Amino acid sequence: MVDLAQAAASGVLIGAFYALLALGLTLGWGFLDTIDFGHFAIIFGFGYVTYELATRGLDPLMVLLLAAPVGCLVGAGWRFLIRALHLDAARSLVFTFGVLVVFEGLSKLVWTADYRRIPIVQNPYAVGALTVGPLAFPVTQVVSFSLAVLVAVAVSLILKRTYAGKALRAAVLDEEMTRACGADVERLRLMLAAVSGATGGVAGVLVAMNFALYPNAAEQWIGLLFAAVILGGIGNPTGVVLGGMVIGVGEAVAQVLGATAVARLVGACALLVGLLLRPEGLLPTVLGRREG
Amino acid sequence: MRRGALWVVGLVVAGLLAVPTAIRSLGLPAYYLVFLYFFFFWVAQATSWNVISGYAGYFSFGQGAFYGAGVYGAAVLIDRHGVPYGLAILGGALAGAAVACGIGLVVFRLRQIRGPVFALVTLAVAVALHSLVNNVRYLDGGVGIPLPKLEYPWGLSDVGFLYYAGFLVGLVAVGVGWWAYRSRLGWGLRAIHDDERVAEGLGVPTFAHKMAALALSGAVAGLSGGVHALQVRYVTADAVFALRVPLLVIMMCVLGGRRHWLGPVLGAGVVHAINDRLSGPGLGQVSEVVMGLLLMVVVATLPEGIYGRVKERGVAAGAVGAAVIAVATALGTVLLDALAIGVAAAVILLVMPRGVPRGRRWGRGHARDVEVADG
Repeated sequence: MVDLAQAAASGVLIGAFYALLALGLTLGWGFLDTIDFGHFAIIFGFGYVTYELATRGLDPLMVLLLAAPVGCLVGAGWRFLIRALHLDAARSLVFTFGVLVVFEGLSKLVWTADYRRIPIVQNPYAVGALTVGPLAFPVTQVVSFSLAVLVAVAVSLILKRTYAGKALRAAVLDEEMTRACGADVERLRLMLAAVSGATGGVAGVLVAMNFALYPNAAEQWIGLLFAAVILGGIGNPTGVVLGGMVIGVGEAVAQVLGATAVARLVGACALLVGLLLRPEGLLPTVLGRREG
Repeated sequence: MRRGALWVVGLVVAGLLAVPTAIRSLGLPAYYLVFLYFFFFWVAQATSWNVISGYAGYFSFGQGAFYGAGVYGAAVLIDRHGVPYGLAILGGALAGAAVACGIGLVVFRLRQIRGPVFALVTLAVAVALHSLVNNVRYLDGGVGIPLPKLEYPWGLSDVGFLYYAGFLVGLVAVGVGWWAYRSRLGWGLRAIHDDERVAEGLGVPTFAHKMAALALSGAVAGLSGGVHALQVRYVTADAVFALRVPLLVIMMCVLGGRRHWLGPVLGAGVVHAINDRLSGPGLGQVSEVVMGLLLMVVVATLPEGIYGRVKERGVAAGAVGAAVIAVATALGTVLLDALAIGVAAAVILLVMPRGVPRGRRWGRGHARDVEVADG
């Protein structure tokens, strides 16, 4: 019983971690019409940079603080490029896939195909855990959990309550009309891209603190994260947290029940089952309507 | 088919059938046969992808799933059950078709799954299959399957047999691609590509057409994967399900052109000729970077592929390519290097824009507003 409770707790934590990685994806798909494999390049790029800095003695938590502003710049720059090329969703999918492949190739050249992990000496947070009764919560994952929930709630409040958010949602429906109403849509999108770049940067630092890095690591995450995005409803920041948690808990419980092979399939299965039962996602998409 | 076209096809087939004999009697290196085998392999894979993702527009990242099903279908049949390799290859085709039908039966029942969502679902299936193969002992279990050295009929060597087998599979694949392009199925698929709802309203049986296209695609990919298992001889999940296969296949079709059966053949030729020269020891990563960059450039500048341009300036491009190859060989370059350079030169000529593109303001600018105002 304690096993299952611990599995559920770890599942919730790791699920929120998935959500932090996937937040940028869901925002990009929902509001910027970009299905962004490049986001993985941002995440793992920051991961490798963190590895380099941390092995040189910089505290990973310091890197975490730096990652947000730098991530903002990267995200905005990335949006700038996509915008300049006039890519629609389908072409952005192929284009950013190319970007990811280039990133993987480059990181193989620079960091080789070996596993890279920050040594424990430089990264004491990897082993720390808070204990509540019989349950243990790893520190890094508590950090990612709070960050994911905080960012998701903040972004969804901004999108729902402020004029900027309303303009962004309106632009998904009808861009010309929103512009005619006086909203500088492109600037708002740039800001949103900056936010999603910041989440990507922070997520990258946390990935480096939690896992070993290798050039093809992104491939392990793609299915899982897009499953979380689709389950949660495309463009829905709180939804992606829920979607991530469903997958995380599913994986952890399958692991405890002894089905290791199944555990790795949970993401794909959750995606398929979710699409079959609720094609519009667990929660509604950006506009509360079905994606065509 | 027109008489002239029939002659061309006949000549090409006869010429390619004669290649092994010619190479043996001229004493040229056997690597040319391996080079051509890989060309046939990529033609088959790219054509398979194009039937569903090009004609019907259902963009897929799951080529690795069909191809992997073929490779593992054949490998498991040979290694675990001692099935003769001919039957095992057909078993690979069946496995590919079965995976495709499985995906289709679930996915095509849901109208929502199209466009990007379909692409991601296929990717998820490929990843799931990868970890399934890695974790189930009967299929692989993470150790790989070594295949025994096989005896081929008529005293053929490995390389010779694989050449003919690959050629046959490539021919079948192009035949399937050609038929699916010309037949009623092809018209239906193109209608689905343009607007699925309208197509359905006009009486195109969209579900049946998509299932047929996906099953054909899976069968061809599996067939070619089955032969490839014999070429690889040591099958590992990480190599089979790597993103390399879908990447190169997408690359070939996007570059070649996705709306015609010749597109993937062209694309396979170009990409393979260049990529082969980049795949020496230590160059794998470089090739990945180059191919990724090429994909980015092509998608951003020429989303329709070079097939349309071949019609316009194919002769000029061919002449330039041939001239470059001739000059390069005359200067003492190895034939395959010269070929890669020549192909690259021809492609650059094809990709070049028609005129000077109208100036667009970069940056946060309002290019779209300008276009609207002009139009």
